[in-house]
Amino acid sequence: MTTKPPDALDCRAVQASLADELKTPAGPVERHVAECPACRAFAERRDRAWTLLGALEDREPSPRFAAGVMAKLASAETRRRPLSAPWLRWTAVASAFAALILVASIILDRVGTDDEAASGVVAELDLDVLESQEMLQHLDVIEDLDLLLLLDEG
Amino acid sequence: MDSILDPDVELMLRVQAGDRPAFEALVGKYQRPLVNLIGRYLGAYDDAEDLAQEVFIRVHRAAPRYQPTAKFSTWLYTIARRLCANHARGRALRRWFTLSRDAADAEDDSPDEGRDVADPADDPSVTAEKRQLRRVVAQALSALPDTLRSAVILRRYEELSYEEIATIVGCSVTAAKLRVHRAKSILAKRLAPYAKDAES
Repeated sequence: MTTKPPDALDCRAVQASLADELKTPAGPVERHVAECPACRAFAERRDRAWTLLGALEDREPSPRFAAGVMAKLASAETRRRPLSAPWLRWTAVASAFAALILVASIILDRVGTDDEAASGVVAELDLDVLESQEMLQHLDVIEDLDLLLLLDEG
Repeated sequence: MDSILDPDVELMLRVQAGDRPAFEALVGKYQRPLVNLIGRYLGAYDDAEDLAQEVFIRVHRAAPRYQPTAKFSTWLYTIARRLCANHARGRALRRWFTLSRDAADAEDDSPDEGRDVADPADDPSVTAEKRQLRRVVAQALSALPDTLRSAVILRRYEELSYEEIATIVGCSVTAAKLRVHRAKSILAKRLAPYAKDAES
């Protein structure tokens, strides 16, 4: 059933203006609502729905919530603790670099030997090289932990 | 932002300086609003506590880079909203990939039931009605698109200003108002039958 608006205002415009979030200064809209059953019903429906949302009442978190946060924090800190002493970092970098040189020299030394056997050895050694490079990359990550965390949250 | 205006910013600056009790104070103050915000957003409380704890871990991790440019709660809810959106996307992907779709649907279609323990003092029929209404409201909220849902939850339950909502969801103030307006209109239609019951 449609109800003829009592004035010249368009009901859709009135209903949009009625919303408190888009409210215009009082005046013709309020007068229209007071006289227009359709717009009044619209406003009441919205208000009732807003009230019904209150059915989702606040709940208490479990009593162990805060302790759980602190436990997770302690565990995360243990996992993510960077190499704090500078000499430790440099030792790690130097070790990785030495390993890389060693692996590369072994590969070069083996090139030219029996093809089938050599390809297997090279493939195996390549993996070592990759692992060493990964170690180096990992060290970069350790150095740049803050950047990593920032990206993680992004 | 002047940290004197917001005591929580003051606490966060202490967290930045390595003050553990200040962090515990923030956890104590915001655990309840955060768990409820996340529970309402996800439509279920099962994962809400885990996610809320993860939000606090991220707050602590981000402390060294913290800049007090807004209210602490605005910053906290921004982190929570992003985490919720990621979680919801992950859940949708899992549902898409899983073969046991029915099981996933059952999980998603039963919001709000995880910790719904009846109070023995309540009239059983009233409790059942309340539980049904809670379920209907949770489903109506869950059915809203993400952008509308977060805006309406922040407005209705956290009673935030449109300026704060705009900052948290990353849109203009006008867009935040429009989102709440649209969400209210959709909810008014979906909840209309229950609104009549509540009235009678």
